[in-house]
Amino acid sequence: MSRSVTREPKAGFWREVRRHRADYLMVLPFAALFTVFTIIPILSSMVLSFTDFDMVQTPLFTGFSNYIRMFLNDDVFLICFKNTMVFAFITGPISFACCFFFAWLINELSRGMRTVMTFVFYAPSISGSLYVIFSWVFSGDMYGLMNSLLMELGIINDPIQWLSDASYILGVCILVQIWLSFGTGFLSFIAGLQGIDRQIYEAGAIDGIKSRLQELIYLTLPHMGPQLFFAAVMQIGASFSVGAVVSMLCGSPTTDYAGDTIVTHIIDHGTTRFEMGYACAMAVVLFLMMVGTNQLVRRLIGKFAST
Amino acid sequence: MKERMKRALALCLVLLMLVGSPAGATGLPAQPEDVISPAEPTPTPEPTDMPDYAAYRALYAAVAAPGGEISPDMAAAQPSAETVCSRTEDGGLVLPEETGQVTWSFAVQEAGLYCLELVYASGETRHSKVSFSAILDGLTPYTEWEQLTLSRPYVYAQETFVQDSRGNDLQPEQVLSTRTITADLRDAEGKYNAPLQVYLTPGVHRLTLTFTQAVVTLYGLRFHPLTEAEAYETVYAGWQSSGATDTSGLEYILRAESFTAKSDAGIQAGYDKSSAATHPSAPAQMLLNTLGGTSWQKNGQWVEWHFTVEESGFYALSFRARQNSKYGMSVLRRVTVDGQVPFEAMNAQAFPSKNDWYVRTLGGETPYRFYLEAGPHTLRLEIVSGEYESVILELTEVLTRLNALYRNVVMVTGTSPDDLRDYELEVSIPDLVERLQSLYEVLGAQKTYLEAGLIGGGSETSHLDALLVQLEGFLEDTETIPFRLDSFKSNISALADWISTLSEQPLELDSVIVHSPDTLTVKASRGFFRELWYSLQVICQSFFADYGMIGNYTPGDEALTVWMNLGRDQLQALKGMVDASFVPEASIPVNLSLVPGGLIEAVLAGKGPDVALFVGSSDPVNLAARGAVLPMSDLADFASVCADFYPDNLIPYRYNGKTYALPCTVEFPMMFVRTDVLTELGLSIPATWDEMVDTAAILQRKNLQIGIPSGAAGTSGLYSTFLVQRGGTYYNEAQSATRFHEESAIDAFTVFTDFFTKYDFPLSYNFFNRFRTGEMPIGIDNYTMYNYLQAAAPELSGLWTMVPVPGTVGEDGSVNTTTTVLGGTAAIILETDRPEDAWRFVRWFVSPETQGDFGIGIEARLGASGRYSTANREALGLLPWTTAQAQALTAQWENVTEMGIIPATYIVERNLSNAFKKVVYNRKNAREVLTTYAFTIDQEIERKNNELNKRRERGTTE
Repeated sequence: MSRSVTREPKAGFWREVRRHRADYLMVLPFAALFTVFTIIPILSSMVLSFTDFDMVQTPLFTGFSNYIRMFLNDDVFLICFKNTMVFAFITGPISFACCFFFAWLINELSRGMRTVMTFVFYAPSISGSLYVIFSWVFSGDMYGLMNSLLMELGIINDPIQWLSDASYILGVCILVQIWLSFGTGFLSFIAGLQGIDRQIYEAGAIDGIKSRLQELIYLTLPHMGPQLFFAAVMQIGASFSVGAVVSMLCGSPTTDYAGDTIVTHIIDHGTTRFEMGYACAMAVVLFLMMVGTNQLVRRLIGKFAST
Repeated sequence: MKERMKRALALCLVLLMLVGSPAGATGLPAQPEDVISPAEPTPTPEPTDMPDYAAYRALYAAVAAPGGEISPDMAAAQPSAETVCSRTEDGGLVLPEETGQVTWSFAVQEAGLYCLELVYASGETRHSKVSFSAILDGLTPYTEWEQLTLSRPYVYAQETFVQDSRGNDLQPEQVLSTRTITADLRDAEGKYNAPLQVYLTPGVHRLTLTFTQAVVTLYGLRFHPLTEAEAYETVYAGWQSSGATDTSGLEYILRAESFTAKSDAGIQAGYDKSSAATHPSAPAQMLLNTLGGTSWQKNGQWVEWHFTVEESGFYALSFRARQNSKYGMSVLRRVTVDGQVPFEAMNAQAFPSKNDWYVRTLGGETPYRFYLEAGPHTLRLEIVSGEYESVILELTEVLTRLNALYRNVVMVTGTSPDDLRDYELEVSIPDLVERLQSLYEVLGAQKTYLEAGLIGGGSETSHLDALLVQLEGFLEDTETIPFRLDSFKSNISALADWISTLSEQPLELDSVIVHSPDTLTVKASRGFFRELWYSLQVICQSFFADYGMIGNYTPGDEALTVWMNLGRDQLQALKGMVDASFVPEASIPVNLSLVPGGLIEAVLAGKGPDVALFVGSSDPVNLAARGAVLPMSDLADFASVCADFYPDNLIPYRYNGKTYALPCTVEFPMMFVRTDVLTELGLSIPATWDEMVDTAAILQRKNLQIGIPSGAAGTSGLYSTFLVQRGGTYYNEAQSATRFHEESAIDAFTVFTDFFTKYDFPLSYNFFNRFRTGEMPIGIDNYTMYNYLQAAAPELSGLWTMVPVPGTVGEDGSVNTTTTVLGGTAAIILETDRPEDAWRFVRWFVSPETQGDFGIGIEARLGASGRYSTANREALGLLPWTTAQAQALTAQWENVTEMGIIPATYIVERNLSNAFKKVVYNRKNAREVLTTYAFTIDQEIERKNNELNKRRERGTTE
């Protein structure tokens, strides 16, 4: 035992590894994939964000010029920043609340009905890019579903260009995004509600819980901390990275950038304009925003639930 | 059925009365004198009351068949003065050029209906058909004579299939056959079962054939009465009485894919891996073992096999076949032996649809006996419309009436009717109820007829059902028509689509078996376990074989790597040509692969190709600005290669004084016009934008529309056309700033947006659907829409035309019809260590011959709707456009210019679209909006140029 204390820390590390080699072996596949496809790209984009890189020639170091341009000399970035914030802090919380509300409702249903309803709400998010059907619903043609409906009802006379008129783009995208967002978070809520021990409610009733609302606030929510946090993380990730929905529905870029987010702006610069360095800088900013918001959310949820 | 009979009988009676009197026969179809005179053929057919063949045939239905035949003397044929021609030793008339006109005078003894038989041999050409029109005594008797075709058969160049380095069969090279062919004149679409007939009165007649795609040698022509095949019983009894008996124990199995000749280059041999019984088959290799399928589905296409039997006697015919692409529908084939339909039943033999291969013996349990003498014979299978003939003819007519009805209703109600209003349709369209009633009856009768025979129930007739239910509803209460108009329209177009698929009759053949009635060893399947084992082998092999690499593949860096950003069919067409023509000639191995996108990433990773074909038109400049592309203008002979293109088509590939790419495809807008609707309203085709506005006013009063590409879809739409017609361009000489602040640009923008603000043109629409119903009788679209309309809307044939876009009247009164390119792709050479080889390949690829062959190859695979939009102006003439169409296209193409591409082009298109939307949606002032956006654009161009310059400076100092 005394010998092991005198060992150098590095040797101790390897010895530790050898001792738990079965565990490390099991982690290895994921760790390798995570490193190659997540850690390395994040690190390399951090490096590239300080360069001028056009995808073909070697990157040139340019210091902070990309970051300076982003905040001081790119009007479009500010629009995209605003839109991303709208998605993150309006769509995100709304869909988070909706997820919880519907999960809570569905939980009250009978077993068979619960399965059906869960599927109904969860289906949009597993259906891949099925949301492109909204481009037909909101088609600018007078035979488009929404236009023909409104024209039939006599509300409008001329077709509205839902997907290319700057006044409607963001609204349509928010709607579709909310429809899409009943994803993993929603499922975890259902699982969480199922997992709460029924005895707790009984004890609560004895201790004087009077209404379902009190039950929700004092019993259900505090017991669902992990699920709340998990769903929040998923929801924030999804809201910050809204991009495909916008560009598939409204084109890329959208009219006057009305619906563009940081993600679509990154794609625009990276692929259309061949400015990978600048695109990486924006990606880094977006990454930091997501990490920061995650921390914020963790604290908020920690206020009334143990995570 | 009873209804049909009754109507047919009534028709006959009426006609008898008409034809009965001797005066009636001569005065029959009242023809206008000015239809088409041989002196000046009119390129676009004017709508006349010329009958189609169905009507013509009905007129003469009661005429007795003539006894004799007439063979006009070939030596007496008179070519017109402009026609280039010569004579062969055996009296043939050679027409070596595309166009030509020949006239015969001949005397007729006996009045009656005659078929016209032609004896001809094709010359060497790229056109897949001999096309011509015919005139009798200065008149076209019926519309089918305006566009006639003769097939040019194809044969394999080699006897056996060549294999690549991995044992896979390559698609064999095929060559045009110049053998002499005898064929009766049929309608070009193969709608009718029997050959076309024409009524000849006694006396002297003049027949004129005007060729648009000739290159043919004519050996003779013969007017003869229609020969009807006799019933099987009669023929069989005749053979038996001459002492013929069944042969025994003989079986000749012909591989369908090893045919002797086929009518079309497009009929392809295929690779089948679905059954072990398909001969030959191997689990690992791609072997050619079947023929046809969807490549053999058009009426009139035929395939011939030669075979030799050793004994004289009776034989049976069997086929190992499959028809799994048309569910529930039987397909028909005419069987001819040695050029004759042996008996009546062989006029149309049905092959039912089934998912798996089956063996079908003609005649079933007791096979039809065919008497064959010992020696060589020819068997031919030809697609015929058979029982579909009357169905398609009637349904097409119904469709025209349905579309007219829809249009008439729209003219009253508009396309978005007010539900609360009673339009009193019965008052505005007095015959509404009768029309609905008769449409309902005809559709119902057709449905019953189809379901009784050819189509075994199921979903195939569902389109008819939908329309029937709807028409019934309309009849019950005509007030419901306005708000059911949308679904009425979609039901009509569904019916139209369905009719065009009805005339497609695909059949896949594995083998043709000529055998004694008691012997047949070919099986549909080799039994459950053998088939299972075979499928397992195929699945396992599929993990190792790379089906993406077709043909010979040279590993390593020795081969030139070529990427292509187009479909798989195009890849196969090109690969065949590369292996057959480029590789042997240049002795440079080529690896061709299909890579959609990812070019930049590959270049970055050092895995890029040497040559990339069909890259987007903005890529060459973008890559050039970053030094990844080789400037082609520095390579040898660049100027001479450029001569094949219109100089303006090279503009987008120029950057800093050098050219970096050669165009592969070019697409430009043309105007499509429904001549029938315009004639109905007494309008002429607008030639200028002012006339367009006038026409729009009249059309809109009738609730019809005009469609021009708007700026709503993220592009600038037709703005650039308005700009160039005023002499403007996007960029200044140095391409460092835009010219949008100039008066001509602002004027063009105002006029363009006015169409959507003042004149209320639709912003987004489906052109094809609205053009089809006639709701949008005028529209501007990419010229490739022509092929689509031709292939997908056959019911419109003859009712529309394609003309150049309207022009702007200049101050001097001249009309400027210049337009700009809508889309295009190019060939580039990337930074490579073998520029000579790459350049040689590109030069070969963009040459007129290669482009023409490539276009033909694609069309053979995809049909006319996939016609290649080549950028090579010589090659346009090699594609199967008729001369008149090619002329119309060339007329516009000469007036096509391009805007140029700069590294900051992306900002221009999106901001022009933004400007458009601001004016049209928010009704802002056009001048103000355009100048504001021009400022933003100029700023970005400057920033981009600075970035690139900085880069260049730093790059050179490093």
